[in-house]
Amino acid sequence: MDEVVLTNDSQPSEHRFRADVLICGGTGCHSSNSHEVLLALESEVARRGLSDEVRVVHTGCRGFCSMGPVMMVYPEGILYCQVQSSDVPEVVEETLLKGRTVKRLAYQEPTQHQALPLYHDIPFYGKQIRIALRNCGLIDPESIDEYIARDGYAALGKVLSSMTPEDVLREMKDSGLRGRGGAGFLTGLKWEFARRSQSFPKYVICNADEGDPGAFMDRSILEGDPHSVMEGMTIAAYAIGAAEGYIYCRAEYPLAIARLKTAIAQAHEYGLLGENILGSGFNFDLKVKEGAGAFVCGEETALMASIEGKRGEPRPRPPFPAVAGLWAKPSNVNNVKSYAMSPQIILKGAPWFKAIGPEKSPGTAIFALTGKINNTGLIEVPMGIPLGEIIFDVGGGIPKGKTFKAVQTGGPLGGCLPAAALNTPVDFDALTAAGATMGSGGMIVVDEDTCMVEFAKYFLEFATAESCGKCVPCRIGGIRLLETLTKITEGKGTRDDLEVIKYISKNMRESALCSLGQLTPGPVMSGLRFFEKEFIEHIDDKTCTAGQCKSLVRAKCINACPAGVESPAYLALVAQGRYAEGLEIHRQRNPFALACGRVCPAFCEQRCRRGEIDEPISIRLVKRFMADQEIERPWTPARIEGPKLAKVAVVGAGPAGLTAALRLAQRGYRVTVLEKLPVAGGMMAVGIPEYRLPKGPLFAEIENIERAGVEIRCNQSLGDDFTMEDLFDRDGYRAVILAIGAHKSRKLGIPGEEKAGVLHGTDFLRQVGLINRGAAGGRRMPEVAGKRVAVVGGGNVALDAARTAWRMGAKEVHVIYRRQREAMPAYAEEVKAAYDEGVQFHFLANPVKVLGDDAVTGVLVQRQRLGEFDSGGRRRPIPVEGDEFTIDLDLIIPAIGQTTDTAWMKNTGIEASRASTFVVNEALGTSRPGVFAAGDAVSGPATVVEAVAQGNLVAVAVDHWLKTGEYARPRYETPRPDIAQLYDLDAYANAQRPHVPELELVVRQGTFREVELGFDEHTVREEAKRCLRCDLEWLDYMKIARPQAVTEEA
Amino acid sequence: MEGYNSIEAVLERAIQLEVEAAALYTKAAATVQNEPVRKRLEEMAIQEQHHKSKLEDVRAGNVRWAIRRSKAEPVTDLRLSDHLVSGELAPDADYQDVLLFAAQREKTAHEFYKAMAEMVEDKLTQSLFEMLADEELRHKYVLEKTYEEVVYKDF
Repeated sequence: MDEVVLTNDSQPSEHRFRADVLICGGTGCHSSNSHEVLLALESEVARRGLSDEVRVVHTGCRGFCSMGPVMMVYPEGILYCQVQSSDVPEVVEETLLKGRTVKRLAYQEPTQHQALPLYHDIPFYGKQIRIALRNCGLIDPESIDEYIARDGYAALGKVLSSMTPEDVLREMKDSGLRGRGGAGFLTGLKWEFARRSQSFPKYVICNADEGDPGAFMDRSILEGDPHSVMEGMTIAAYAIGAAEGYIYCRAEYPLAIARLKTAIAQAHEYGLLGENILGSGFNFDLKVKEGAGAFVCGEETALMASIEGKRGEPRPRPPFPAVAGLWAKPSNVNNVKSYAMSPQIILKGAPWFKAIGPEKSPGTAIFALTGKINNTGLIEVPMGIPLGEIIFDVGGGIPKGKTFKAVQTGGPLGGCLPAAALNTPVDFDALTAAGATMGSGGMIVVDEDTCMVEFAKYFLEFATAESCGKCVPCRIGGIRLLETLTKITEGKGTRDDLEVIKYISKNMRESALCSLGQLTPGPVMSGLRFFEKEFIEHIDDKTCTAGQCKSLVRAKCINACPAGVESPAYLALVAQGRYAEGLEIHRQRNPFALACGRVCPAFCEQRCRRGEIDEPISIRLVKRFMADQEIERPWTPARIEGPKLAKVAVVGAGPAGLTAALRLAQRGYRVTVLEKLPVAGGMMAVGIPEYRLPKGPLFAEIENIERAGVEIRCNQSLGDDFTMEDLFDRDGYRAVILAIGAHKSRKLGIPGEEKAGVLHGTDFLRQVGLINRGAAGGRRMPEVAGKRVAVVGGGNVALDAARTAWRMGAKEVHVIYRRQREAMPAYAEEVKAAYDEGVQFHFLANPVKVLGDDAVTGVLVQRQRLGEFDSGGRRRPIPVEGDEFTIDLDLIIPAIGQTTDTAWMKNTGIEASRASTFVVNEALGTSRPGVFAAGDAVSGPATVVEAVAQGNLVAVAVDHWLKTGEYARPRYETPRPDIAQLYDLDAYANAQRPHVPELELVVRQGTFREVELGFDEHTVREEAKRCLRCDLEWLDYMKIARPQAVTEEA
Repeated sequence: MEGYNSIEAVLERAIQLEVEAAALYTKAAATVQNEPVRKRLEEMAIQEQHHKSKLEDVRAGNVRWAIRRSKAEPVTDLRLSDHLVSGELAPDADYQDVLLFAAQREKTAHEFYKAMAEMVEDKLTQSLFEMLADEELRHKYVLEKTYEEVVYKDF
């Protein structure tokens, strides 16, 4: 890290200041009113009489754009974020006068919420090595003196005084610098080609036609340190024998152009440009050429055509510019970053540069980091750094706790890489091998909410709009690709379209005239390579999981719900007080409104559009209130088809089995549910504890299903009390649905796991659950009171076990988890509640041995450190050898995962996967005809609402199979409920999401009383009105009339 | 070479280990009921047979050929299963049991080849053993990676 800042030592004749305050004037900070901060600071410094002690400097971009306006105070090296002019008096008083930091302006580390006031402590800068950006944000870009004070023009001096052009070429070649414009050709070699050309005059050209969406690397260098580029160009001119140069900069960069012109004038004044530079006899002059903003002019032959005053179109190569470039004369074209690095290479030597990064891609890479990332900004990192470190360490990870999905490198002509590629070292060759490109330095990060089809389409729209039209493959091929992708995003695509995309892409790559056309298919091809499933989902299911494709997504909340529950409709009805109607709509897709109102992770809220503005609608708690209104007047599900003779058996009375049973009963089938346990409900009854889901609401919902005609028989165990043959041959069932869940805990596998005092998570919760649900059957509560308990794991079972043990009077409760807190699969609110209740967490800790003779006395735990990224994008824990500690314990509850019990499956003809889930076809049919499967036993452990969704689907599949004898991919269809909006949305623009009251902490221990207390009616109805009604906007988009308001508000 | 009189003896022992491993996986495959897990065991048996044939190449004097047949990518030791306990594979063994069983066998083989590489003096043979050690470690890496994905869902 180049840490040197402005020191007055290099300017002995100038006035020495006690402090330097640097205000970033880069584009990002400028648009956040950094200029006002500058004026306020100058005025406050003057008002306090500090003008002789404190110098205020307006600098170029420091890179930390998301935190702008950024202020740095030296000599302490304090960095303040998002400074407003109103903060200035406090900064002057506290920092400049009293030497204290203003904590509230310090950078807040997003995961640990720790204030980091010092520049060097901020991870965003910690992994950076600044060569091209070394002066950006540290000097006044309009002052040549400040550039000179930072060794500026020293390299030019060295070149002109002590190096021959051949020496320069050798140094550049030895450094291994590859062109930072994207192609990665060796810069020194390119210079050598131009030198060898024996035609004059020769030209040095800087390609500053940066036009990628989201890219601002070149702009920031030109705005923040223009002399570095000019010095690099002058050195190149000396090396190749040129006397004239052009900087081709797009006119959309007026500040860059203005600063370049100022810098050129200053360089002339100092004798660093023009005739006889530094008395060496070498002449070189520079002109700025403003481009009109055509993306294709970033292609070097088009760029030169544009300088010549012609239409900006590429031409075939060879001849290459080094032979016949501008005005058919030898020309050297390099990117801004390549030139900006050159003086440092000359000054510090090729071996210094070569030592940074991998052998074949030495030096640093500059990226404009944008998209769904915490630290948006400009970065310079050593080549070879893993992609994941850029995104998670430098970039600070993904905002709002969302999941990383992909990163687009190489701009609109590059490619996207998935989470599995996070260990890829960032260099020219490794990125290309991984399926993307280095490009000029745009890096766009996207999260789970981004549709990869739409994402590819976005870049394709850009590339086709920017095609110059000269060659057919680019002009027509791009448009055809775009049309095909548009079809897919509208749900009109076919599988053949994927072949069309591949065919057109191949032809464009092979036959387009320039790299614009050749690389246009990059994003769509990489999208298809890594996210083909998403393309197929748009084609086959007409759905867009990410919730982006407008034609396919009525509202993001409906789209996000696995069961497709119509949230906007019931929110609208709740707003009117029409609870029963709202509930009816809910139950068309999910019969467990009471349960899901309490325990659903609310996928709907995670995608709620209101959450992009302030906070999502509290959909789950509105649902809970709506459902609670009906407990007194129980629901009897309606029959939708007449009675049938066929009988269906459902094995397992969890949410998947019960939902399937209900839907089949509604279609007239005679349905029996066979449950192994003494109570129905599956994991809802014996997994989720009473304090999250009380038995009253749960049993009320199961009774509703029984009222539909479903018979539930408990204490019926498959393999023990009946066999598959019994069901078909003895009992005459025509179809069987296996919804047996995943109730078996995974073994921890460590020595001592067999000792007394080790009780696995699901077994522990089941024992407690059965007793709490009134089905003790002679079972005794596990003895927990007064004991020291440790739960191993970070999922919801682990958290449920920990909070249950705490309620049962455990003396201490520990949770041991091998990753860090952010990586826990458990719901964040559960983790927080466990913290509040006094559970002690041990992160990056892995139990390696259970201690004790016969019974548990403790556990030996080994600390972990974070290593490479796993395929899911999380950092993998690696044991730290010799770093172990012991926790004294009486009870250990391993809860590391669950699986399905498949012991009964021998000779049944039913196949399971390696992970012990059922192998099913697209109709959820198992390998045995007539036997279907759904729920956790198919998907692995999941949520209630995901099980419900499978229950709906398997019922449709079974119904179809019974009627036709054929398997078909099921679609669970319900009528679209269009509910009018009866209130003024604008009146709720500032309404806030309410906080739900909870049972006080002091009364929680010793009881299983429900913790979350729910909302009152007024709160619920007001909250429902915060809904933005995306469903009605969709009607407008699809040109369908909105429903008329026929009902007055109750 | 402690315990071994000659390079031939080392190779003999190595071949024997690969044969035993292949037999172990084949036997387990015949016992385990879960079909896909059984298939995975069969694949592992075939992998060990490849090792055996590579070692036989060496015995026949084709060390260079054997080395050329090996990959040379660096590999990480995740050490995820090092502290876990694995026993004989029972008929009701599930994927977790098999992954753990195999990862620990790969660890033993990796350590054997590593020790052999340190003992032999001939550079070419040393390279061969280093490569075999790496290959066993690579198998261990894949098995542990899978173990993490399948078993440690909540851990």
